[in-house]
Amino acid sequence: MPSTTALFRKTAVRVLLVQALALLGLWLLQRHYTV
Amino acid sequence: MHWLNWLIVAAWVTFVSVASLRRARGTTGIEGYFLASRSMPWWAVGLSVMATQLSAVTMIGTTGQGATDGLRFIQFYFGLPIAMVILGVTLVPFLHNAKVYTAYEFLERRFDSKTRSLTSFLFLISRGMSCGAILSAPAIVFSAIFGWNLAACVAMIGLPTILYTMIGGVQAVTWADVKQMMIIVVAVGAVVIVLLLRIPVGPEEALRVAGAAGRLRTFDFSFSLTHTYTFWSGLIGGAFLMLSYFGTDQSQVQRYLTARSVDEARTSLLISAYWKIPLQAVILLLGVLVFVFYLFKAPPLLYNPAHEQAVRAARPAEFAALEQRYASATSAGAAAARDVAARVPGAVERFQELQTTSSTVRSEALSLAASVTGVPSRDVNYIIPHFVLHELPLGLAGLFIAAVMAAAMSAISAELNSLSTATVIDFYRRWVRPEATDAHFLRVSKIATGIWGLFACVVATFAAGLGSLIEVVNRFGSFFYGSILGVFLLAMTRRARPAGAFVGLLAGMAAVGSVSFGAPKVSFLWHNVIGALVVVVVGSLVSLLGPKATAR
Repeated sequence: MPSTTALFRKTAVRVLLVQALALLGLWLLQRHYTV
Repeated sequence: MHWLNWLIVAAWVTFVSVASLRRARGTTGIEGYFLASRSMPWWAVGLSVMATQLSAVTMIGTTGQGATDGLRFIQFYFGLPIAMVILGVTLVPFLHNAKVYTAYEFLERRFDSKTRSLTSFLFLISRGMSCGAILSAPAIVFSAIFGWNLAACVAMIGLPTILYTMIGGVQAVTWADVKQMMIIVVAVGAVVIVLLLRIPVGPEEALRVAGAAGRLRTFDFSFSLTHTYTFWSGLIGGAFLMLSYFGTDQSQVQRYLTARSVDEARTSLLISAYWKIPLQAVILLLGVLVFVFYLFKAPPLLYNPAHEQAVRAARPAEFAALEQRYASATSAGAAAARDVAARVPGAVERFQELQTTSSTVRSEALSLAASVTGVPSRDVNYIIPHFVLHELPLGLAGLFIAAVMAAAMSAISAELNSLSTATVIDFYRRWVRPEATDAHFLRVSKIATGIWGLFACVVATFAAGLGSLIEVVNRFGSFFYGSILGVFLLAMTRRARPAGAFVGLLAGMAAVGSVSFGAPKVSFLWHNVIGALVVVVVGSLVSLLGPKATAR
C-alpha cells in the first residue's frame, strides 16, 4: 500500500497539472482577445 | 440602500455569529479554544484557510483593480499552488506532528527561547497593525458611500467579529469562515451573472471589447525585479511569499493545526492550491465586466461620493468642465465599443484613442480630488460599491454588501484568534504564569482576544491619520516575512544550531532592510526570496563555524 506522503505527492502532481491548464486557458484568452 | 438590503446584511451577520457560537459550545480548555482539540475536518479547515486570506480588500479593491487594470494582478498568485504542495510535504507534517499551539513554539523546541520570542513578537506587531488596516479598508468605503461616521462603520464590522471570536475561539472562527466563504462565492457568481445579462452585448462581444481595452492581458513574461505583476515575480517571489504566509504566519498555521491529522491538514491546503487562482480570476473578471458595463452606461467621473461632493463644492467650474469632457469622451467611447463588438473595421483604434482620452480626464479629476481633500484618491475602491448600490437589483445589493462584511469578518476573526494564541502561549504561559490552570489560561485567552479586537478597532478608526505609520509597519513586516521562512527552513536541516538561526534571522532582516532602503524600486515580492536565502546561507555558515552541533 502506498504511503500517505506518496498519495499526497500524486494528488499534488494532479493539482499542479490542473493549475498549468488554468494558466494555459488564461493565456489563450489573452491571445485570442487582446488586440 | 433599501431597508430590505440592510435586513439581509443584518440577518446574515446574526446568523453567522449565532450559528458559529452554537458549534463552539462545550469548549472548556485552551486546546479546544485555540486548536478545536485537533478535530476539524479537512474541508472546513481548507475553506477557513481561503476565507482568512480573502479580505474585504479582495472584494472591493481587487475587483476595482480588475476594472481599471484587467486580469494581470492574477500573476501574483502563480506561486501559490507550488507553495502549497511544498508545504504539504515539508512544514505541515513538522508542525502538526510537533503538537504545538504556535509555529514559533516549534522554533523553541528546535532552537531556543529567544528565536521563538523574537519571531512571535514580530508576528504580534505586524499582524496587530494589519488587522486594523484590514478592518479600516471596508469601514472607510462604507463611511464614504453611506455617509456614516467611520467609528460606527468600524463597530458594525468589528464588534460582531470580536464577540464570536472571543466567546467561541477557533471553532467559531472556522465554522463562521465556512459560511462566509459560501456567501462570498454565491455573491460573486450572482453579480457576474447579472452583469452578463445587463451588458447590452453578448459575452463573446463583451470579452472582445475588454480585450481591445487591454483588460484581458494577463501575462507579462519580462523578467524585472522592479515590477510586482510579472509571470516570474508571481511564480518565484509569489511562491516564497506564500511559503512564508501559509508556512510561518500563525494566522494561517493555526488553521491547519486544528485538522484531525497530518493528512487532513495538508489536504486542506490543496483546496487553496486548486481554487485560489480560478476564484481570483472570477473576482478580477467581475471587475473587467463592470468596466465593460460602464462603457455602455455613462459612468461617474469620480466613484467616491464623498470626494465628488468635496470637489464639486470647492472647485465647481473646474469640475463641471472636466465632467463635460469626460461625458463627451465616454459617449463617443460607447459608440466605438459597439463598433468593436460588431467587428467594424478601424473601430479598435478609435476605441483605444477614446479610452486614452477618458483615462486622461479621469486622472485630472483624481488629481483635483487629491488636492481638494488632501488625501490620495483611492477611487478604485469605490467602483464596485458604486455599481452594487446603483445597478444591482433589490436584495442582491444586500447580498454583496453581506459578502464584503463576510470577507472582512473572516480575515479579522482568524487574525484575532492567532494574535491571542501567540500572546498567551508564547509570552503569558511561557514567561509570566507557566504553572497556571487551564481554566485560567482560557479566561486570559478570551480577554486577550477582546483586547486585540479593541486595538484593531482603534487602529482602524484612526487609520486615515495613521496612513504612513501603517505603511511603515507593512514595510517593516516585509523585512522579516521571508527571514522567518528562512529560520523554519533552517529548522528542518540537521546541522542548524540556535546561534545560527538567531544570527541568520538578524542577517536576513538586515539584508532585506538594506535592499528596501538602498534599492527601493525592487518589488517587495523579491524581499521574501532575499530574506529566506540570506537566513539559510548565514545561518548555515554560523552553525558550521560554531562549536559542533548537539542534537536537540
